[in-house]
Amino acid sequence: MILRRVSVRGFRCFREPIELVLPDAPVVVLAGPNGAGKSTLLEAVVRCLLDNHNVTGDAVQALRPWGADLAPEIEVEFEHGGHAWRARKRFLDRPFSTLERRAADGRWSAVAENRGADERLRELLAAEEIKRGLAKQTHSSLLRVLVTPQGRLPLGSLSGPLLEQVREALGASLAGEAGRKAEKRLREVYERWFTDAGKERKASPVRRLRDAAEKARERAADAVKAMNEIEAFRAQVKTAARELEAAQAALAKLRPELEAAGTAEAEWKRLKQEERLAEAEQRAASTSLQALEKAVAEIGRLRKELAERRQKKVEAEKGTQEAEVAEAAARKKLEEAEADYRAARSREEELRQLERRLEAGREWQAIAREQESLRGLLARVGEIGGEIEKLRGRIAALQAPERTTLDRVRKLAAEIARLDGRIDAALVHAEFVPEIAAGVTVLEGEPRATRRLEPGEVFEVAGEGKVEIEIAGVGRFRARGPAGDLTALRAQRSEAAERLAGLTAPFGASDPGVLEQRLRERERLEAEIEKLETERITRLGERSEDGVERRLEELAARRAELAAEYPEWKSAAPDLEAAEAEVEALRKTVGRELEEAERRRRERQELAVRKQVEHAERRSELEKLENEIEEKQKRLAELESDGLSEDQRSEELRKRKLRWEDLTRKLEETKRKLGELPAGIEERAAELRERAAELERTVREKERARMNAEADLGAALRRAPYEVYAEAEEERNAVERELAAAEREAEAVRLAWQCLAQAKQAALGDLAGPVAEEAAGLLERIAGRRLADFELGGDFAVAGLRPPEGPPKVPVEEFSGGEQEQIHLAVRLALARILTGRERHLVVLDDVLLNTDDERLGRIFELIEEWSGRVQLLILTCHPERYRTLGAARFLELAGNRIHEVEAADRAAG
Amino acid sequence: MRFLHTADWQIGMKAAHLGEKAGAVRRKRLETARRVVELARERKVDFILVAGDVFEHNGVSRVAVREVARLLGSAGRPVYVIPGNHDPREPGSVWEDPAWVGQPDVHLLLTPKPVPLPGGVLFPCPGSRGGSRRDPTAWIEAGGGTGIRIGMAHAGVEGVAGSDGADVVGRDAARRAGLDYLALGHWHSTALYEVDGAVRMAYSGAHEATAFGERDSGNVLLVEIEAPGAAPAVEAVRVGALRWLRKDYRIASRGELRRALEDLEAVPDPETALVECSIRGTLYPDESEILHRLEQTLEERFLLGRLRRDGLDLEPDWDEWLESLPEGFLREAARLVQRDAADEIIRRQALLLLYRATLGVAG
Repeated sequence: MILRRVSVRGFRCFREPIELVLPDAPVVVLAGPNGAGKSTLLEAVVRCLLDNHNVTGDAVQALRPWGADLAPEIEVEFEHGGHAWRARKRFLDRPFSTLERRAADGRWSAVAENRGADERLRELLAAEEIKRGLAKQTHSSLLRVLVTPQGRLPLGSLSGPLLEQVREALGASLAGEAGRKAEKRLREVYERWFTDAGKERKASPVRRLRDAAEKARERAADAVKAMNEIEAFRAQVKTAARELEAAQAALAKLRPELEAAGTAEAEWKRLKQEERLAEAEQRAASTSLQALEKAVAEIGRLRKELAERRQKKVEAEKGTQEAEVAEAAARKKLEEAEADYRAARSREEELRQLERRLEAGREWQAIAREQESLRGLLARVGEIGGEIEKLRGRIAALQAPERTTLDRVRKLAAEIARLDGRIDAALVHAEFVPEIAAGVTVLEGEPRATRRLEPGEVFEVAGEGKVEIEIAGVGRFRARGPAGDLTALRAQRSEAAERLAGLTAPFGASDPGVLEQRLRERERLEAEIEKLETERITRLGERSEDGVERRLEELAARRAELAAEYPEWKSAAPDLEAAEAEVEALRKTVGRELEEAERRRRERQELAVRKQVEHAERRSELEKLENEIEEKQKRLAELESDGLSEDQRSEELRKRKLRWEDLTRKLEETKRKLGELPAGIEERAAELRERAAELERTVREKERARMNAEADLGAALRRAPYEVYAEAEEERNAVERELAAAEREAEAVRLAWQCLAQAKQAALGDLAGPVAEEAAGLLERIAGRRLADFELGGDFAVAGLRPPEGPPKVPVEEFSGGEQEQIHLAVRLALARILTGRERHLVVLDDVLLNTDDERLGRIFELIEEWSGRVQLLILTCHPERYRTLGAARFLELAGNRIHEVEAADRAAG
Repeated sequence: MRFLHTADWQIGMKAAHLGEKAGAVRRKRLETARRVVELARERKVDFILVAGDVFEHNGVSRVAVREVARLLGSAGRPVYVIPGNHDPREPGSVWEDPAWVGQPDVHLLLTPKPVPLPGGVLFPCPGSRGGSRRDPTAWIEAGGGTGIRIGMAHAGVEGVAGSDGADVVGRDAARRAGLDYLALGHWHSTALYEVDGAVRMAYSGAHEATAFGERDSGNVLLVEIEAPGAAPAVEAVRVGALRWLRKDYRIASRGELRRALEDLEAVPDPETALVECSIRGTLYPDESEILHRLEQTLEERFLLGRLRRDGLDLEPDWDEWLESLPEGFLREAARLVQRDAADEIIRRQALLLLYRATLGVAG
């Protein structure tokens, strides 16, 4: 980058517009006194090239001129990459950014605006993105190395993306422009296949082909499966056909055997049927023969039994009549015994009446006793009531207070005494004892009187607060004492006295002693009353007086009832002893008679029952015989109902026997024929039939199976499986071939890229070496001798120097101030040479060589002049005279907010 | 008696090695079959013999079966067909398709039983799947009957390589069976067998080649026999439309690769040509662009074009190329590729990538 023009307005110290036009010279010295704004112009360039136009915050606010609300505006024209560029930016108010490029006809055309312009500028200067706040020149690897601000000559360590940028820039220079382009092309190829992390891209042809190959393989596998399925169906068809044939052959072989078995079975069945019929006939003949034989035998037996039963019936009728007579006699005797028993029971009633009378007599006497006792009780209770009344009259006359009242009276009396004491204590007491007779007048105090006192007589005066007495002929005596609550105490006492009077008024006495005595008397009388009450309660028990009187009334009523029933007792009380003896005598007599009647009645009852049972048994026996005779007669009639005579019946019996014998012989003949046939004919025929049915079923099944298999096969073949298979295989083959080629290509791309990256990394690792070598050469040129070899770290920081004759490694700080400047300048220049490559670039030194002596400065100028084709050197200084020997330099002066070129003559003069 | 002898049409043939071009090849086989029938009409033959493998497989599409049935039925003369080892008689075979019922001129000879011919008798010997190495003509008894005796079988020939896994006929089968001519199918190249100075047994070969390297396929045979015992006149007529070309180039010096490219560009009727091209020798880095064009030509110009360049070597000019690279890590990267590549093909491709990157050629 070559700087051509900078225009600034409203920026820090430049309130008014100022323009720096750099002359077309390899070295431009911008001179100006301290504070003239040289560094501010340099900052304006950095702001314009690196900052986002819409940046906000305090730092950007500080760009406004002091005390003015102007928006900073900067315009920078520069050359880069063979083009002329113009960047314009305004910050803070209505901010904007534009980037223009000059066309061949000299006109500016817009390249980008605002954010696009900011980004494009940074891209040109290899600067990283500014996320927030203002940029620093260190954001750009180019500016970091090429622009040296005041007092910051040491480059220090490079790190992070910046270090990478520097390395990239240096690395690109290692292979030249062609190498950079080749790398870019290879990267483009690599990025089509892989991500930065080295993973296959989703859109990579390999991935697509791999998926396609997988699908094609699946389709091919499906097609093979379908083909195999056809073979399976075909095998099924063959198997089914073979099995069908086998089943049909087996069936054909079985048929003659089945027919023979059928004929044999028919003959066997016919004989079996014949046997069944013969058996039935023989069984019927046998039954008929046996029935007739049985009937003949039974007729004989019944006739005999009937004769026997009729004889027994005659005897039974006679026995029944006798038993009837005996039963009637026994019943009559029983009736007599019953009558006797009832007579004995009637004497019992007489005994019960006597017992009731005896009981009533006893009650009569008990009533008399209770009446007497109750009357005595009522008399005593009446006496007790009278005594109690008298005692209550005496208590009323006593006018005795209650115990609580008396306690309150006592309390009030004690209170009054206490108050009297306190009143007395509150008075002033004076005691006067004259030795001679004297007249005394009390002027103040009590007693208020005039008295004549005898010698030795004690005269006391008491007064409220003071007492004053006048002693005739002697004078006045005045005594004072404490005045206080006497009035209140008197009021309290008066109130207590009133309350006492009020309390004792009902009793006619206020002395507690009197009242105590009355109370004790009253308590004694009340104790007596309680004693009498206790006696009355004890006597009455749970009864009341009214209850006793009601009981007396009940007793009187009951006595009246008894007297009504037994009137003789009104005149003479019943004789209980005589009555008891009479009852006892009668009870014994009645008991004996009743027992006898009871025993006799029981005996007669038993006899009557016995006779009744005997009669019933006889009658039952007779009825049984009659039933038997009737039954046998009926059975006999049944048996003889065939209407045959006995001879006829014998003839019939003989005929039946002959038929049975004939049928038995026939049956045996049939059985013999059956026995001659082989065993298991029916089972054998059934088994053969079963086998034939089974085979027929198998034939049908196999036919069905063959048809099904043929249908399956036909359906599968209609899907043209071979064609599908052929196409799938062809597709798979094509895709796999393509995939293999793509995989090879991907592998080649990866290998090429990895080797390139590896080679580049190795080259970058060696970068510090060439830079150190370059710096050492430059330092040698500046110092005029081999001062030291550089030891640079991978971050390009100066780790130390190795003087040719000195210790192995010396830190920079051990060199002189001027030499330190030269060492750092040498590193910067060495890096700058590599970084700038073929492009010409601006190098700025802002008052950085302050300690370098003129001789070495001269050598530096020589170097700069040598480089004039590769760099544009801008030196900002307040000591322009130091650079006067620089022949290639042009001088500008910044003063009074304007910049003007200083001619050679002026320089010399300066 | 004049007839056309053909075999091994293998309609529906799978050609996995042809990839996406296989469909086009399949269509071509059917078109050529049509040409065979036309030829029979043009040459007014008495009948046509198709000696097996009409179809590639019994699972081919029923549409294809119907097309072939219609085609054979349209010949206007009897057509005698036997199954081959690819389309043997078996449950669900193509011969069960109802399409054959409507073609009275087409005679499917599925069992070895003599069939009368105009002026003679035909002894069909159907092929079987897998092959049992039996002689399918063994059942034919010499002598008996009158007229010209023609045999038709699908089998290999005893003692000839390539007959493994198939039925085989003896070399003297025609003589032993007393045949005037034994029409064979199975081999794809035309082959005639002379007995006592007369061609008594022949393979017509496939009407279209089925793969690279087939010696003489793409023919049918026109046979004329004047009388029993007379020597048959056999004429091979080319009907195949596809050309299966193998091109081998050896590059020994600069310019030869360009000449190979020009040779390929000069192949006539490229749309019916299947080309398998092999390049061996040295690839000069500055000729890599020609190689790229050669690849494009193969891919775009022919029905099928395939390149094998395993034998292509970069080595001899590597130093020269390396020197041509700009100094720096690019050159080092090329060295690393040369050293580290595990596989020769990948090494070559990676070097070419680097080379193209330096030339500014799109990857």
